[in-house]
Amino acid sequence: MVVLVCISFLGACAQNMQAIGDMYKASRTNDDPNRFAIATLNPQFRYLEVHGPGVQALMALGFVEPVDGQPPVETWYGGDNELLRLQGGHLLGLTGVAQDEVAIQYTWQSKNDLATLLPVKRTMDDPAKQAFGVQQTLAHSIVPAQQVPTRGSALRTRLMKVHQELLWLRIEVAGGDIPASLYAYSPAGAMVYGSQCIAATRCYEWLYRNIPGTNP
Amino acid sequence: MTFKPIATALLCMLVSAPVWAYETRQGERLSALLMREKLLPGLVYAKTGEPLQLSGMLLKRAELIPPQTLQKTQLLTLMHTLGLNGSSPLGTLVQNLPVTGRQLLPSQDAHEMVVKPPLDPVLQAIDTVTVPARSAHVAVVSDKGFCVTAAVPLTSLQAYLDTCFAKSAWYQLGEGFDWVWLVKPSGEVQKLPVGLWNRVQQIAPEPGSWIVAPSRGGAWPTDLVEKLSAFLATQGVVPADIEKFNPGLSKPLPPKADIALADQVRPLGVRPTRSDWGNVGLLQMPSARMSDAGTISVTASRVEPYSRYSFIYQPFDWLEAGFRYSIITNRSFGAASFSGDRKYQDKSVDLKLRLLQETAYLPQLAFGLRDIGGTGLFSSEYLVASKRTGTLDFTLGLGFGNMASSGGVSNPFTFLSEQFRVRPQLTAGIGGEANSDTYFRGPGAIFGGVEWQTPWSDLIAKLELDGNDYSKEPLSNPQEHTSPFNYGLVYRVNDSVDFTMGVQRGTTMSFALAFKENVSRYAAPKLTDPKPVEITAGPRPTVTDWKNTLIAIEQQTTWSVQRVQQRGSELQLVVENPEVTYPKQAVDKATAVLHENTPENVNWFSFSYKNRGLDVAEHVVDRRRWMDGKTELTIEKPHAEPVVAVAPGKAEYREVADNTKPWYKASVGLGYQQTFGGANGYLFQFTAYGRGELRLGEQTWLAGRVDHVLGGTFDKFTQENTSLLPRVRTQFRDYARASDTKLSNLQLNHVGQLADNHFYSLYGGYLEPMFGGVGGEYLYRPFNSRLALGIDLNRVRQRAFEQDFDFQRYTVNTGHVTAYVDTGFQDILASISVGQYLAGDRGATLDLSRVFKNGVKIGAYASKTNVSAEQFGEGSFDKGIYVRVPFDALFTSTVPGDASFVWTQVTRDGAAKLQRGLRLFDQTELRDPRALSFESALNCAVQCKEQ
Repeated sequence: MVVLVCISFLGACAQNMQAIGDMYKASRTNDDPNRFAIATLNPQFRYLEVHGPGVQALMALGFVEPVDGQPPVETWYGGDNELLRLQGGHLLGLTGVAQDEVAIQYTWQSKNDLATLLPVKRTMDDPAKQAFGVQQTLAHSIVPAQQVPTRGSALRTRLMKVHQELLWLRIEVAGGDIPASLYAYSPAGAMVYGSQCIAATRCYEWLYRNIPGTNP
Repeated sequence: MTFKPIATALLCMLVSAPVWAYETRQGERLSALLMREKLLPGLVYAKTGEPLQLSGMLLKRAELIPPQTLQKTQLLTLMHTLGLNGSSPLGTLVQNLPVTGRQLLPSQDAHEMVVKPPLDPVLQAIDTVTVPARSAHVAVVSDKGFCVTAAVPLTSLQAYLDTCFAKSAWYQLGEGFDWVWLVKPSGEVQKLPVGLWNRVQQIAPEPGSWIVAPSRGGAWPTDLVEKLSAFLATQGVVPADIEKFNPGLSKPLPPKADIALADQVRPLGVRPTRSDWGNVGLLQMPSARMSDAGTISVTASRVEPYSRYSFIYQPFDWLEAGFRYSIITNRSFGAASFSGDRKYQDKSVDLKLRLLQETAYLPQLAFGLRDIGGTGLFSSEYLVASKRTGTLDFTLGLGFGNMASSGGVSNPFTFLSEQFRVRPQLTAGIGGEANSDTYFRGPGAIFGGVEWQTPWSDLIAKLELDGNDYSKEPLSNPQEHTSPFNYGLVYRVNDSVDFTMGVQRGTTMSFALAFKENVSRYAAPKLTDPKPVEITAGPRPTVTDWKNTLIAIEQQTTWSVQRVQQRGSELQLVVENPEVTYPKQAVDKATAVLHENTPENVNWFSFSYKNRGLDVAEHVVDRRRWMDGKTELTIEKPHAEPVVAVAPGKAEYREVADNTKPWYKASVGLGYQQTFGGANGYLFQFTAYGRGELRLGEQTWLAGRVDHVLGGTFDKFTQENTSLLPRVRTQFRDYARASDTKLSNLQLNHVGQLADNHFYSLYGGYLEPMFGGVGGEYLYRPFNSRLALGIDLNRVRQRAFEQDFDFQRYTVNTGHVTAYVDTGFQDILASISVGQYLAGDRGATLDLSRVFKNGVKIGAYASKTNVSAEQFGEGSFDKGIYVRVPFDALFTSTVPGDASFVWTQVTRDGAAKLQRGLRLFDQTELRDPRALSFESALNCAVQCKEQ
């Protein structure tokens, strides 16, 4: 981007100073990982703050689809109509977020310490990686709050500053180099936060912004 | 197999092929049906719990049955003419596959369709929607046979080909596969390279895909392959019961997965990287490889005693050209008393032309010239071939001149003339001449090497045989060398930056940093533009609030709307002096505002563009068709473009709203100018400026600009005039230093039209910083024509250095006849002008440029006049290279204008043109037949890459 700006400057004249300023402002704003932290939220809607590779978005809940014997599916929309789908707080699909696309199907199991449905297997279609129908087994464990890493995660950092009483769940993909997923549940059992990687450098995290009593 | 909708959500499951059909309702959106049936990504199950494959969904539309029946008939006819009758495997396949009437869907995700209505079709009751069970097969259709095998995750196309056809046969002459057409269940068709010589990365087909694989040298022409692929795209997934009506197909064992679930897709080829000289190549030596068209690179390299800064342009896939500054750090520019500690600097121009594209058996072949003309210190010529196999790319070349000073090969061209035996010594003259009498002369030397794409995608290793004997370096500057082999590593820092480190001559470390950008893909999302207007269907307002509507249009488009007028059901906006990079985008935005704010009975919107009162062009929008395209996924019809360009008409309109602008306008701002090239390299200047315009009539106006210098390096321009011509441009320093406040321009203009395609202008005043006077221009430019012809005549006088109201004594007549030709070949625009220049010299200027679809222009020009090289001075004749990038491709806001980067070899007095601020060709650019085709590279990711 710096190169582009430099080239554009060659021969530029002042009528474009406004455009340069706008772009600078936009890029500064886009880079700030806490830019949505103080956003005023409309209580009529539910919001999800999503961070991914080179992208941050505040998304609004569009649809909730109940599914027989499985957690409901939430479809969240960003300002550019990018779309993120969560099932029980687990990443089900991405369309357009960071120009990424993925679709996952889960096999669910209910016997766990959280007394909630958790995925035990997943089948992933990941066109960017030429992977279709890749089946992966998932393993769960509870993580003490003090062992939850905050480095490199603005959302976890913000969340941990405000809430120490959350229950943290770690899910590992068997036999791969994909980093483990992390999820945080409120004492009432509502999912507050999730992070999940599709590949080693394609990790997404999300924070439910206006669940009562959990907004950091 | 056909399906009839019945009144239940789930119709039936076919016994032979597990496909589920769903009821459609008249006027219902597809997204609504998919949500009703819970057919959502990650959640697609039949009522029986069986997983379904959403990408293989068929939306079968009655309207598409006739054209697809014709499509199948044409395919069968073509096959018949090729001797592929019904008993052949392909014949059996095509005859048994049904005409489906499938409409291809850009998205199968209902929730995406909901927020992107142009992706969401409106259904009719007679349409059918079917979704197949998750496919477990991949089919390979080839002239070598027809094969269906189990789909295995993480398995490449190559693995499927290996499974279906004995790989040993691939290595026989004439055997193997170079390209396949991958037909995905969604109907998307991709042509992909699969040969050892051309494949780029592993591609895994989605289960249910068809792979159409014509064998190398086989009997299937491309036309057949494309028609077959288009037909298979209407089928969805490979039918589970395909064996039933194709008993001859083979069913080999499933292939083995060969794609690692690693973070990056492993590259199978060698991407082009830069040599120390900036062009695509090895370390010192070039290869026959090229970058993608539109690539611009800047390479800085250091290998003792040379520092090189190369600027290389790739306007076409087949042409690489650029220039370079070489600094020889152990040689001084001159005596210390004259140049201090300044090091010797040499400028050079390079050219490389691709002669032959690589095929399975033939290498890519290129011809190149290094350091053309000038002092020719490193003057070299070469023929080079590159051939790839897998991750190894081999290069072999024959060079002449500096790069081949090791010799060893007697000149092969001596059979043409004995003159080729000896390479004449170049004299360090005034530069600029082509030195063509040395080309390919003297002994040659073999050079070559190999590049290896390592398993780490960011790392490429290079080994080369250097044709240069460094003991014979120019300027009596021999360098120690113990080995003719150089080796090194190229590390990709990111997509734009490569860092190379190597060992050369057996003794010396080398370093190079290359920056590259593809300007044809420049695009910026419009994050800071006003929010786009949401386009809706349904009832329209009965009256229009024109004040707010016009404000919205001007904010959305940056247009200035003069008035609104109506004729029957056509509503016309008269737009003044539109300056937009992407006219179609502006039309879309304006139409969106009009569509939301104008009554139902308006069927047509038209935009009449008036540049200074000149009728330039009109764009007409079919409102209904435009709205359909924006609010639903329509069935594509040929020749049904909703926006068309037409020649301005003479019809009478009734005025609806007037939006006349003030008779004056003024602005202040920061200005920036730069020069690049010439003896002083890069010079720049910042100014604060004020400019204004008084409108004296619709076609007459007074415009001016005053600059005040804030800082810069223009006053460091030191070049002394060595030409014998009047000093019309080389008194640059005097103009820069005489005064800080300057009247850069003040001129009275008048334009008019003699007839529809005939335009004229008259102007007078302080026309540019160095000249003032009077002049006029005539332009003949038919609407939508590739040709235009202009004549400009000017009587000008040189202005005082202070750039105030005074003049100097030098007066001259200058003007040109200019022909503009849009060649229609690879977007090349050519202009040739013949006439008299500012110094009174006469000659011609040829300007060739390529304008990419995103509006970026790369070009070069050269002027030759009737002054001798000695009279002209350094450079011998005027020439330069330029890039123009529209601000719209760079900024997050829609902004008119563009950024220019011009490199001239040296600023001279010969072939200098008057810098006319008012040019009729620019004023009438909307008459260009390509005007509506320019668009942001964000909208044309695929097409822009392919152009």
